[in-house]
Amino acid sequence: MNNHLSVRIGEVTLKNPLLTASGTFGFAREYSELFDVSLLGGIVVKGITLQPKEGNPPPRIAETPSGLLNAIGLQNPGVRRFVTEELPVLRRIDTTVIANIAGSTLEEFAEIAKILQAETGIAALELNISCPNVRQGGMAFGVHPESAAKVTEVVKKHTTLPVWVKLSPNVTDITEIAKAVEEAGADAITLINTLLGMAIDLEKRRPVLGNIFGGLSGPAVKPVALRMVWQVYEAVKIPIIGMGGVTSARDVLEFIMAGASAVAIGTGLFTQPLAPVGILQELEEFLVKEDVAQITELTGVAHNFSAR
Amino acid sequence: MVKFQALVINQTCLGEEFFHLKLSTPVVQSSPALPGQFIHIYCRESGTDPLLPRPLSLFRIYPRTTAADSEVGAREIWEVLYKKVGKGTAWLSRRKANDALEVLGPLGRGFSLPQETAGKPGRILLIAGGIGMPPLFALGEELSKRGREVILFYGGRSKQDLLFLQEWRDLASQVYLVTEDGSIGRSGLVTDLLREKVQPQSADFYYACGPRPMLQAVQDLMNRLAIPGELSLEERMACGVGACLGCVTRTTHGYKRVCREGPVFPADEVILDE
Ligand SMILES: Cc1cc2nc3c(=O)[nH]c(=O)nc-3n(C[C@H](O)[C@H](O)[C@H](O)COP(=O)(O)OP(=O)(O)OC[C@H]3O[C@@H](n4cnc5c(N)ncnc54)[C@H](O)[C@@H]3O)c2cc1C
Ligand SMILES: Cc1cc2nc3c(=O)[nH]c(=O)nc-3n(C[C@H](O)[C@H](O)[C@H](O)COP(=O)(O)O)c2cc1C
Ligand code: FES
Repeated sequence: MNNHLSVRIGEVTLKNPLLTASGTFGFAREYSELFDVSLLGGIVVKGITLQPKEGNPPPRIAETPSGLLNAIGLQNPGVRRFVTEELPVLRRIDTTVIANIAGSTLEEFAEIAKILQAETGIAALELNISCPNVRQGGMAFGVHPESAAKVTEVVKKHTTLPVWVKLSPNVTDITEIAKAVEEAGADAITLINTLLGMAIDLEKRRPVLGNIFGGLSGPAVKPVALRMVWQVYEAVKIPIIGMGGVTSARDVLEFIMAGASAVAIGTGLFTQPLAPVGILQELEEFLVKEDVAQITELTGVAHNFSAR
Repeated sequence: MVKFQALVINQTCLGEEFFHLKLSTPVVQSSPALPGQFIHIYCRESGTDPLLPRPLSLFRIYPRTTAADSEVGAREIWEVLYKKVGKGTAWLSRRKANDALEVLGPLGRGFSLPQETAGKPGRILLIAGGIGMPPLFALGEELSKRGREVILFYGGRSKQDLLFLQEWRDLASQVYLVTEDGSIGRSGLVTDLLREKVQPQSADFYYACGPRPMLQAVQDLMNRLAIPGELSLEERMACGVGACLGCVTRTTHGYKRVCREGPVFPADEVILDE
């Protein structure tokens, strides 16, 4: 079924190119009550750390024009409870599961990878390298090519699973980082994570978010995300999973034409909880209407425009 | 919880900033809505602006009764009562009869009703602050249906903030009103009156909803009077279903999701001081 929607990210085959973005879908329990989540090409779970994390003080959410600021602070039950409590539920869902992992030291990344290596039901690891690296004074691993490459290398050493590296957009040159992680052995690149932002409450005369800063997502960031997918597509050969502001099938197609092999929806779920169902249907319709046999044919096609 | 299209049966403006909206829900609910639960209303025609749905408590919940209700295909009527404060509620206030609304719900955990709270058939205090009143009305209706004696303490800034007073008088054995400007009832805060009227044995249980500072004062007072209760909280929300962890509040068991484990929490679990 839906054969023409299936895509490959290296050795991982997805039944269609639509994933859910980490942190917006929990561990799939909640949205399973609303729609058949096995329709999805894959589920990327909430970021998992070695130890349980309580997260940031509230308020954690602020709506901005066409955007959402969040400062959840990686609240999660830790990798061991993920394995015992969440993974069994995820295994019963007939779709691909990707584990998003985050560490604040290289050792933590390695340890999580080792623990997950022993488990079935995970198709790939997605490394969130946007979290602060405690050894480097809180600077995120993802903002320097060297540290981004180092994390990739270390995780690759401790797992046989494909490793997808999720890039932060809060950098001067995204292609440098992309090239560095490709060289270090990344199997795919995911982008973008949220853009650092903030909002101020005029009445209280203080920042809205408990954490002061938060990550911006939603339609407001889509043009930036598309531009970065485009640049990375020209810089590396490994597949790209694009995201940032997707709310419709047209958005998904824009990311694909810019160079993504698969696309994730995050904030768009909050705007329209059943969006994935409609998007998949519209993707099908688009392929028929445009007489495209395989959606994979569209990856990066927008780069050919000058040759036409 | 289900995502569905609700039809506006009608909407009335109460004073300048309050609106009373009556919705018919065409879905067969696998689990019926309970007092204290809320819904998400997507406050836009189409597109993605505003991006996030608006959480509103259920003010009244009842099966369709009149012919007019069944004409619009209602299974259950859900009413909400809200204050126009920003873009989303302003949009909502312009909806008219027969307009369709995108709704997700019922969401969250509602009030635990007396048999679950292991109560003796004693008196129950409902403590409402401003626009925190709506979920307590749904609860009051349910409690009085079950033959429980309900006493209302209702505070607001001024007379215009206190709504459905006649209906409350029909429902509660005693109604105590307080306003900050003294325009109706006593002048002061709801806790001033509570302190005066409530003794350790005068009620079995209490339920409160209102601004945080009020809830904090109520929690503190009731704790000293050794009367157990539940608080209904508000927090900024994104998904509303428990997936994003955006709406947490601090409790004695760590952060809990207001949209999932709440919005109603046992009063002794919630940590309100920042
Ligand atoms: C569980 C729950 C039940 C509620 N029940 C009621 C009710 O019965 N009647 C009523 O009048 N109001 C209720 N509220 C508050 C109501 O959700 C807000 O007033 C409303 O979201 C404001 O939207 P806006 O676009 O008009 O305002 P804006 O200020 O433009 O909204 C901007 C953003 O802030 C959020 N926001 C603003 N105020 C609040 C608030 N107090 N709580 C949570 N989020 C907020 C909005 O949802 C939106 O994301 C409830 C809130 C919660 C969490
Ligand atoms: C509430 C929320 C929580 C998130 N949590 C994570 C996380 O745990 N790990 C991660 O790599 N990205 C996380 N993200 C980023 C998203 O996965 C995604 O990269 C970003 O939001 C852009 O996509 P969108 O606009 O479709 O949401 C989170 C985003 C949101 C809105
Ligand atoms: S609003 Fe997303 S978890 Fe409560």
